[in-house]
Amino acid sequence: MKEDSTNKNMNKAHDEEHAQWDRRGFLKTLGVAGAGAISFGSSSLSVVDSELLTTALAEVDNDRVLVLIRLKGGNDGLNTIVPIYDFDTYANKRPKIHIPQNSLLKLNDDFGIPNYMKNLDGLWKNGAMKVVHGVGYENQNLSHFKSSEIWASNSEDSSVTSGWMGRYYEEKYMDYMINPPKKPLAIQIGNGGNLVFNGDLTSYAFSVSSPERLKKVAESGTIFDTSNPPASLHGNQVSFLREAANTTYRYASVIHEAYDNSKEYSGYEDNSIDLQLSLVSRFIKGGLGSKVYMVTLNGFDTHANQPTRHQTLMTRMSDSIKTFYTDLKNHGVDDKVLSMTFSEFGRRVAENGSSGTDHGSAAPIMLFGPALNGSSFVGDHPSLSTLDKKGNMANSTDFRSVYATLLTDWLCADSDLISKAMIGVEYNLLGLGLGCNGEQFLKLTNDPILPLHAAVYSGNDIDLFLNINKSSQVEIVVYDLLGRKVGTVFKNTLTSGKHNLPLRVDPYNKLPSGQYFYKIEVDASSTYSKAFLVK
Amino acid sequence: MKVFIPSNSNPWNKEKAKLLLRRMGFCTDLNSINRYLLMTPGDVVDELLQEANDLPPTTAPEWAYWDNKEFNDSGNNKAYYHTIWQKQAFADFQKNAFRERLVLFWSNHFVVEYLDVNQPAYLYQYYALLQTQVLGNFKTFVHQIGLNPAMLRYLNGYDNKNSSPNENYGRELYELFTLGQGNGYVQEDITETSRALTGYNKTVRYGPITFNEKTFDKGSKTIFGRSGNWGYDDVIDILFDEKKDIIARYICEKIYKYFVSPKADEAIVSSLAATMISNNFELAPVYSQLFKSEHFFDEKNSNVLIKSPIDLMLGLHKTLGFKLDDTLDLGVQFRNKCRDMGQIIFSPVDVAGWQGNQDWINSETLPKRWEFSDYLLIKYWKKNKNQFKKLIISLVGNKETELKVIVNALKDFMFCPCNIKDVELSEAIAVFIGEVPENYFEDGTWSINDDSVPKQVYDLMRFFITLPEFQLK
Repeated sequence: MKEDSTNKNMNKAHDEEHAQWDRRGFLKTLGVAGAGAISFGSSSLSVVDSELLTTALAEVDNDRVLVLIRLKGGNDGLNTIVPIYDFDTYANKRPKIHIPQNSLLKLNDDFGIPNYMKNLDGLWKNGAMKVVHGVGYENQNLSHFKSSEIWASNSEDSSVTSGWMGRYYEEKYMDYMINPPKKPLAIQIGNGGNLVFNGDLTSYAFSVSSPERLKKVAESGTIFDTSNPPASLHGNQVSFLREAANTTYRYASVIHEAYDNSKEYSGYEDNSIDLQLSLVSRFIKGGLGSKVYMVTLNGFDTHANQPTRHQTLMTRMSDSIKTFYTDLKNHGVDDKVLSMTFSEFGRRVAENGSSGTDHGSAAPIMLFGPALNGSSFVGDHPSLSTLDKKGNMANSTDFRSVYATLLTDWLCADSDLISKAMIGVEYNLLGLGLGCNGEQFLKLTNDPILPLHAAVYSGNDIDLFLNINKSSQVEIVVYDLLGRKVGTVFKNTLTSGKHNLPLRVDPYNKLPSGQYFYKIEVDASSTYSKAFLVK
Repeated sequence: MKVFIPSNSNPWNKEKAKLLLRRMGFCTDLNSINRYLLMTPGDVVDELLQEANDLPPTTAPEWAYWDNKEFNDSGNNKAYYHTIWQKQAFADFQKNAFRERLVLFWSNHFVVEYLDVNQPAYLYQYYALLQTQVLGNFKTFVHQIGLNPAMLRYLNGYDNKNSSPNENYGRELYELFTLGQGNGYVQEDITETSRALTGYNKTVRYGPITFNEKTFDKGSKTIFGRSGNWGYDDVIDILFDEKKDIIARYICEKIYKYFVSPKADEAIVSSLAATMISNNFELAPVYSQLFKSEHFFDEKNSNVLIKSPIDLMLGLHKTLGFKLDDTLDLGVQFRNKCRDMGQIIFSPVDVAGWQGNQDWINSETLPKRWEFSDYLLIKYWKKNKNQFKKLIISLVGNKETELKVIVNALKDFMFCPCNIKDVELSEAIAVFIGEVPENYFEDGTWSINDDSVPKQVYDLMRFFITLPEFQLK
């Protein structure tokens, strides 16, 4: 069929649509692929072996894991890390709910934890725990929803719908959509609604809202249970669809493999956080290779009856962290796993009338893992007496500095990627005792353009930058999101060296906004491809 | 065939009303369902049939009878007009119910592919013919479709001349349109029939195609054992005289498989065929009997058809009845997205049509089905988040706080009645809780009127559309 102007106009409308709508919805669900959805018709993109970038990067830091422990609802920092140095102010503002001195386990002269968190004491004593004081942000938003969004997206601007880890991955795995890694980059348990792993194009986490479902996936290697279909035509159709869906999802089988490769540690209790951490541990021990996990412990919104509720939660958390690290240590991988708690906000300094606390601001972040090389407190505890109008403490450390430090000193990202993940927000690196030993550099190979090809913005337009080793016959073709060929951008000999080629099919008009892929073919033999976005 | 008479053990309820509308139309919103529940099922079927019957055909475009020159002089190419008409079809699907459902069904029976026809006026005329015949007489339908210029072009009736016969139409007339492959005819019948069908070769610049004495084969032909100097009308008469039973069975089975279940029930098909014959091939009595039957509403026939892309998109859109941005060209969106999922309107895969059922599903189309359903949800969300809250309140009232009840109510609303697995139901509940602190549900802080509810419902819908069962109707 000949492509005529009407079709072009329609395609244009279609493409603009693509640019506007966010694909995250269906992509995020369970790591179903962008790529799975993309067929390249007669082109051979799907078999192109340009995993170079992803593989190279994945290998560099493949033994380090970050576990984010979300304390959902707003954890009360003052009853978690108790300020002994200003105990009177603390106790006076919380006559009913403060932790009495004699129920405290001192971490040092100034700070202690409630006795019921005693299972963290071992980690502290072994130099495997750090506490960052007063983490938060300016002008604390007191809504659970908005503040969770800010912590995830790094921005108070509602139009930012990507998360910090998502942006990091988006920059790092630019060819993710066509060349998804064989293993999930991240696994998120609980709260699919959270933005942390969302990029602008897709979500980078395999995400499941309930740990029970993840367990099923791990056990069966399939997303959808196909057992016991009803014996009827309906049952047959359901089985057919479930099996079709299972083959479409990518990561279920590798998750199952890792799960199968590892043994259950008997120390975990029967509760949600233990189940989540036991699954994470099995994936790590089984060699899944995912770098980041997010687990969720729910119920921290303690407006009433805080003492019993908070005690239950913190006991559970402390116990499970201890179990988790014992488990990892038995397996010799505890030093590869760094864990961090976080919450959308801390709570009011003064208690309310229902033996609880209302929404507050700054709170400590706790980090665990022998990789921390020593236990300590980082930063200054905010004042308990100089409070804002609502009675909340001022933050002493911006949460973005914590993120940036993890990206720099634990995930060993280069500074360019970090500033993109941080969307330009100023940050300071914290001394958390972590480090990278400069191991993150890419190895160059004999490939003609490797690894230097990228879509770069030049003003309103977009160019393909590429660096080529020797003079070659080069053809560059652009495909749309659904793998349909849009047109040829360049077909000629390119001399060795650096080139900037406008990514335009029509020399007089830029491509309609939307997401595309380019495919570079060098001497009709080597092929490279990557996604790019025309804004 | 037993008529469905509601009883205490087998009541007329929401599930059945939705089933009827999913199959006879393209789903409908909650208000219409509630209205139908106040009527008897028989009256609802009658109303839908009457509505379909009373609908005037879609207004003809100014180019309805243009020839090639007029198109060429218009300043737009043919694709422009084709697209207009594809969009028109989607607009009609959105607006109407049973007649348009029938147009879709019959356009996949009397197949033409518009790119092969390559004349927008023919496409319009084909569409107009479908709209006027889908509730009429099947014999008349067959008679008219063979003279329709789109069909004359598509299956080469136009090239079928006494001097150079072309068997394409003659073959499909029997093999696909009336008898079924190898069913009651032999090659000689096709050859002879094709000769009788000659003569429709006269046109100026692809305007109307008319009969030309000179290219008609005037010799004697023998069709199904009957000899004479047969022409076009005779072919149809002989066919319907000689092969009544085969035709009725073949057509009724096709209707059954499309509207009821991919697995034909012999007894039901036979009794539909008997109805068809005793009514001289009038179609309405067949539809009426089928949709009023106890068999149609039998639970075992619910939820056994795999949605076509059009079912999927239109069904979601019409079930929710949500608003989206007025500036969005929904016709183009539906057209393109259904195309990407394998259903180009007026262009089935081949002359035999889309085979449907499991053919719709593979690992390329399934993610697109998720993505495009999600696309609609995103568009509703961007237009007005409160639509989601309003819907859930209209389903469970504004006081409900039981998570299971709410999640199940939305499931029952969006899905055909079926049980999803427990582990998925518990995930659905976790999705619905979403960012709300869990204690809000325990201590009574949460209410269905909260600001978090639109997002909760939206997220739950986005989860539901990924469940395999969502692909069934």
